[in-house]
Amino acid sequence: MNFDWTPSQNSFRQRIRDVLDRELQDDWPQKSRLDPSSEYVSRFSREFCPTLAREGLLIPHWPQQDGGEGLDPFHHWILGEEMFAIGEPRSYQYMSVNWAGPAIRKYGTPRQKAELLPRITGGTMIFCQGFSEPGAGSDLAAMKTKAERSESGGFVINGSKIWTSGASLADVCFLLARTGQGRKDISAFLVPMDTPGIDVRIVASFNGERSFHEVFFTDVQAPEDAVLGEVGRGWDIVMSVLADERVGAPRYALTMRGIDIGVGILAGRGQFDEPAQIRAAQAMAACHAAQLLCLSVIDDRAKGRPPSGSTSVARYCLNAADRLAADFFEEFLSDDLVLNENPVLAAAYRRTASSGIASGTAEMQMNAIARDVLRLPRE
Amino acid sequence: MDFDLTEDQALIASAVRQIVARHLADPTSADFVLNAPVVERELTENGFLGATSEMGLGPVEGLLIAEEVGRLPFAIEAATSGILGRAILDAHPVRRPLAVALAPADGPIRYLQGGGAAVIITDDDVRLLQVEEQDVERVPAVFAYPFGRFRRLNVDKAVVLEGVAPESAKQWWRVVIAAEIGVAGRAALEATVEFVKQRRQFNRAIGSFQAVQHRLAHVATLVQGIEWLTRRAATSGAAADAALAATMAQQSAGLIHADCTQFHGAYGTTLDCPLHFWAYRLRALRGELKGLSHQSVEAARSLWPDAVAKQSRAVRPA
Repeated sequence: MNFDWTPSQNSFRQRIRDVLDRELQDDWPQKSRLDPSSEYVSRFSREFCPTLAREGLLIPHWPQQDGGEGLDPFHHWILGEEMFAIGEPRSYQYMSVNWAGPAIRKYGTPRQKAELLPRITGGTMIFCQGFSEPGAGSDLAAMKTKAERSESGGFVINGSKIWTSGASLADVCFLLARTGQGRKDISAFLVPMDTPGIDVRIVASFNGERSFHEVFFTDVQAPEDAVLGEVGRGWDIVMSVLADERVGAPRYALTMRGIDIGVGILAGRGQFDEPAQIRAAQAMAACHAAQLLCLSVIDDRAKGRPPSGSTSVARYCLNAADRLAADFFEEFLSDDLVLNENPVLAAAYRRTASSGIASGTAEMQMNAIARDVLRLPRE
Repeated sequence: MDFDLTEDQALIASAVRQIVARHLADPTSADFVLNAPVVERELTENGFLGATSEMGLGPVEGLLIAEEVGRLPFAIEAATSGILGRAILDAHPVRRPLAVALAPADGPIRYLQGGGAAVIITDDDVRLLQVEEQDVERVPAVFAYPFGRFRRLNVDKAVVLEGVAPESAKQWWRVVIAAEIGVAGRAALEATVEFVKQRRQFNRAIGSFQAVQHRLAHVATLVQGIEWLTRRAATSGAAADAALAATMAQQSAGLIHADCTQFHGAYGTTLDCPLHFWAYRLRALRGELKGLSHQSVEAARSLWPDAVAKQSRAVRPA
């Protein structure tokens, strides 16, 4: 048992920090508001990610034959921690390199690979994830968006998606649509966002400038080779790729930074009294627990073990920690939250609001823990 | 970073688990505290208990042993001697059970009994006392641990542990608290999961109701979080890690106790139900070393020393 980072992992983290120090200007927090969904960060990512690519830091976790460095999942996780803590300057390109790209590598046709992978590894391609629908959130298999065979070949897509992050910034939608009557008769499509018939509307939210969208598909023509993998296997593809990614974003990295910033603000005013110390420490303890649970999952992944219920434990713990952090922010820093003057504090607080919803709700994680960890009966 | 036990650690845990497994069956006599001299002797003879170890075991191994021993309903002191003892007592000969208390040590103390030993933490030093029968009286308590109280305590008669700072002793005490809450929480959870699989109401196992499942899932998350924080604290020997582990543990102990008892219904409050051996330990541990607020403040001091110092200066009268 050893909880220390290796020298290689430490130097990798330093490598990332050096690049961030060099590439992010002093006014980054003010301009970005640490909001990966903002136009500013999205635009920035199209310059920043090519720089990361040149530095070998965009896809270091990809296999060498695909342009990566073949670094282990701990290095990948460190990259995520550093990026998330500073406001994700990759914008939604983090999805491109974490799971959309790997899905294309695994299931894509030669043409899809040739066309899309160079743009992903070059740091110029933003994906959005067309999964959730108004009637299909946690119950994704209830989706209604249809892709029907057209007489002229290919598919015609009709339906709508919602909560789609970064849709108005994205180049391509990684879309799930129903291609048959069965509950899981779903296929994955790669659809350019400038395809006629796609209408994108921003859903205003305090989560972020362009965190949420509605995306409407009206007679959208998708060629046969827009399908990723086999027709009807979209569900399996997404489950396989997301299971491989496992925990998702290291949310605690920004939450911990927000708590540190909050403590600094209070100390500067002489307001870091014992009640504040107690709340801050309790939130931080939960963040450390979440971090260790996440890292135990990464350790399993690094050792080639299959996904287990531990992933849900880690994800649920991230949510629980975020709740305690929100309690601390709201009780002791409420004026600062209202005034919205500190972008890091504001971003950390904003993120706590969505942590039980994004990427699988807290309730779905608890269902999975009950089923896979506690082995409780379903009946 | 490696979350797996080393080969030696795994062997130790496995050996203790085998001994424990032979005694895991429900106790036949219901009492608030169960002693098990046979089990204790077997563990001692195999070198798994105590503050000094011929096998060279340290606090991490002490924790792993305590994780296994704590699954038993019996009150066997393994954590204080195995973790705190091995961390600070060095070569001092120490009897078991080992108790720990803050001076003046005038309240009930877990595992304080004649024939054992006690670590007394004063403001200035840390002392070790061999406890004699006439020094203590038994305190009847419902908390599944044996408690004793000093009839008279002459701190001056205790041996001062040179080179051991009070803060160091408190740090390792925090690891002990977290370890004991983690293992009692794990045992309470496992007992509750088994119970809700068997107990049927409305023609179905109550463990199939989502309301029950979600709360036990939450408990499972708390227990796993405590376990990893404790393992890290025992491994790193860092003050902040110990304070964070104890904070998380004492913060969670009440909820773990409440939900595990709740799902047993009235049965869970009886001595017929073995749950109380772990659930009531959780209650006892909530107040140890001045309780959650104290550990939280200590964690804040470790994490943000400058901010806490600045605050102290700000409130100090001119």
